[in-house]
Amino acid sequence: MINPLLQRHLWTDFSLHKLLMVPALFGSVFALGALTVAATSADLWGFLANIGLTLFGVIVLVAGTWRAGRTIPDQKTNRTWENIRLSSLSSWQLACGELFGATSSYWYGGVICLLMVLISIAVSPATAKNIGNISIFVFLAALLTQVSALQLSLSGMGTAEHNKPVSFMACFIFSFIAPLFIRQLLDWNTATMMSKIHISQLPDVLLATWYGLPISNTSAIILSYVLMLIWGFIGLNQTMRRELQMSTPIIVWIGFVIFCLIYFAGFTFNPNTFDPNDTKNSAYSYAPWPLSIMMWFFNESFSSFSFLKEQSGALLPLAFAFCLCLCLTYFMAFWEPKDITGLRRFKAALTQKNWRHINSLYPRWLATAQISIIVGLIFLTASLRTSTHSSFTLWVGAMLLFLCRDLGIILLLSLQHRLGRRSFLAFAYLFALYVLFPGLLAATNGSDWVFIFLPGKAGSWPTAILPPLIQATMVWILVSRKWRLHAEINLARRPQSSQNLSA
Amino acid sequence: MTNPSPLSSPAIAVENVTFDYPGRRALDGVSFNIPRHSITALVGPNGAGKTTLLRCLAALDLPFSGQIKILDVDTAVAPRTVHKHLGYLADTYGLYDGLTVQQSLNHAASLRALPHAEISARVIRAAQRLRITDRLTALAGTLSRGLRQRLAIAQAIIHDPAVLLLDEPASGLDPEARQDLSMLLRQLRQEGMTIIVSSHILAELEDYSSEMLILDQGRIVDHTPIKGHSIAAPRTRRLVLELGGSSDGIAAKLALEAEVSKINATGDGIEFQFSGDGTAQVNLLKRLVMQGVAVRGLWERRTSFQETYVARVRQGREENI
Repeated sequence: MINPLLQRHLWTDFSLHKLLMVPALFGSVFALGALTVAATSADLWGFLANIGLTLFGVIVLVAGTWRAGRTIPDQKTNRTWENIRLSSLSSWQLACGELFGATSSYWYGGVICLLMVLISIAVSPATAKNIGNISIFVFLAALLTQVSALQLSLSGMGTAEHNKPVSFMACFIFSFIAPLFIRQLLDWNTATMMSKIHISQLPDVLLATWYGLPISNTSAIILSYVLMLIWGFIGLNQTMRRELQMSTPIIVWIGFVIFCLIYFAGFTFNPNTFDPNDTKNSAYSYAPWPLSIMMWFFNESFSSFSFLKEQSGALLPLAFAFCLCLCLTYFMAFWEPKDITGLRRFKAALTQKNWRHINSLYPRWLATAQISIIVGLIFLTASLRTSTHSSFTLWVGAMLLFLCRDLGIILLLSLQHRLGRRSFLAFAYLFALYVLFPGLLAATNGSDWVFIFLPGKAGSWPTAILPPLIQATMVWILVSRKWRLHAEINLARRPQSSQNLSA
Repeated sequence: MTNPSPLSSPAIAVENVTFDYPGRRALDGVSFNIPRHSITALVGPNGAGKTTLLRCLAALDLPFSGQIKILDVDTAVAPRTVHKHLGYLADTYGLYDGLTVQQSLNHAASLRALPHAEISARVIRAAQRLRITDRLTALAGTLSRGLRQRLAIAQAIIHDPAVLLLDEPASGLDPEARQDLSMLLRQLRQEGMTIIVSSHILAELEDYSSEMLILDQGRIVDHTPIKGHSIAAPRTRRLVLELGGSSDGIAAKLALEAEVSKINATGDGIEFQFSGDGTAQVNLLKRLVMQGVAVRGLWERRTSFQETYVARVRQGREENI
């Protein structure tokens, strides 16, 4: 029996007109392309394959992802989602039905385009070499972005009826992070790897390394996409479980975070890759984005990436894992709903030692922050033991406290129930703290005091630790006061005489 | 739909349930039991917490504290089991406008995992119950408000749930459709369903409800059987004694009667509260006639659903001040 959600989408999204029109339209585009190229000496099949791949990208990767991110917010707005929540479907049926149902019409067009690509590859082996791998990348990336968009749209809302749907545009943009990150990390890894090999010894295929093990760049990208896709489906299933009021163990999220840290850090483990004296090597001119974003935000020395060169073999993956975990923590702190009732429910579960509820209600941002702190402390210990500590070590130490302060600010604003766009406001506060205030200090000859707001500017442990420690303490005192005030507001009307007159 | 729990237990048992929205307590220590095969009218002013309560009963929202059992199944422990035995119509429901009525019902039946072979028959049955068989091929988006409401109710009952929760089901229905709804709810009750109906149209609730649950400011103000539907004896009644002559001294005579209290002289007679049954009422009338009171009539002033509701809500608020 067909999945009911898929069936519904087929009913609503397909018509005889669309079924006939789409192939006719694409056929015309390919025919026009063929006629145009036939008059020249250009590679006909390569040209057609490129058109097919471009159309596939636009339809499935871009439009399909947009649609995947909209489907459930639309159903929530139209008040049809509650019926789905009450259904007898399993979470997997829900996940697959919504994902493949919502994007089915886009895949219909996409498959026609892929057929054109496959025909081109079959006819012209030269085309296969160029287009084949890209087709696989785009196909997997499209699936990954669609899963991500659907998952993000649901996880950003929460199940509470008063929660507003998330921004479609935010879901759309963030869903592209994973595939872009994988491509960038692997290309960076390959660039640094190949730069160490003499030109006479260069292999036929581009190589990457994972914890020192060589693997072809293409295989590494495909493997990474597939692994992230598996996690994407697991995450989507978890979110659907939450919608169905089933338990969603925190261990799954922790597993995902630890997997990301260990797996992706493996591509930064590249012994002897960095030569501090080799400043001309183009591979040093950029870094995987978790590192570069962190540096851009928190340390003005990002242009030189000197910190990268300071890390010896095993410390670089650890540094990378810490930065990646920080990114995940900040992302979850902004994305995950943090309404006071959910947090109070979690606190009540903690007080009652109700492990089942604790497991299910544990905030993802909190778990990720705790992992960040653990990874940061491991890095600090390892760095201090090996006596290779540097300004980056100071940065990590200070960053742990700045993280506590920032989470306190985000939480404090989340507790302001009368405020509208709390995430935006929190972002504005952090922007002021990390950009505006240091900028003001620098502009008024106070550059020596910038370390108060920027973790990368401290020259010693006291200046690295004390400012964020004081700020974090002040913020958490405010959080504590706000929390108590909220509890009083809600408990102001205690039950006096709940009457059941007929009983 | 099979019923997993013993028949003696209540269909719905709510114990000290509290539910909070940010900065506001929506349900405040709510406790009540709903017997099986009953229709309960859930009434209360706007913002009283009716919809929140229904969502908690439907296991769509989890209360902050307290316990809700539907057919002896705890909504916090096994919400999916509760969902199977439940039909729910939200006050602001939605339909897929691009689906026909038949496809909508088919989809609702598939969502409830009904056996494939049964779906067609269930669709026809639900359409017949709501009198929308002539609209099966019409798109939901083209239906009038009343027909959309009927379709939504048909979707909610397509799997014959043991418990049905309806939030404002009569809004948007014309008088004839409301009459049909009233008959349908009675029929569903006779077939064994336990129903809770939230509505502002109190006169209609009186027609088919067996119990009234009044919610105000997140608290249960009253939970009482409705006369004519309940086997329980009424507690007290207001009787009006119409007199053919002067009422002088009659109030004093009534005051001597044990079952009589709260005596008020009205324009054409005397109104009082009477706690006795029918036989006691006959005996009272005999005694008054024998004492020479010129009785023109003795009748019961029936308190309407509306009056009871307003009185209880006001009383509840006064008690809270």
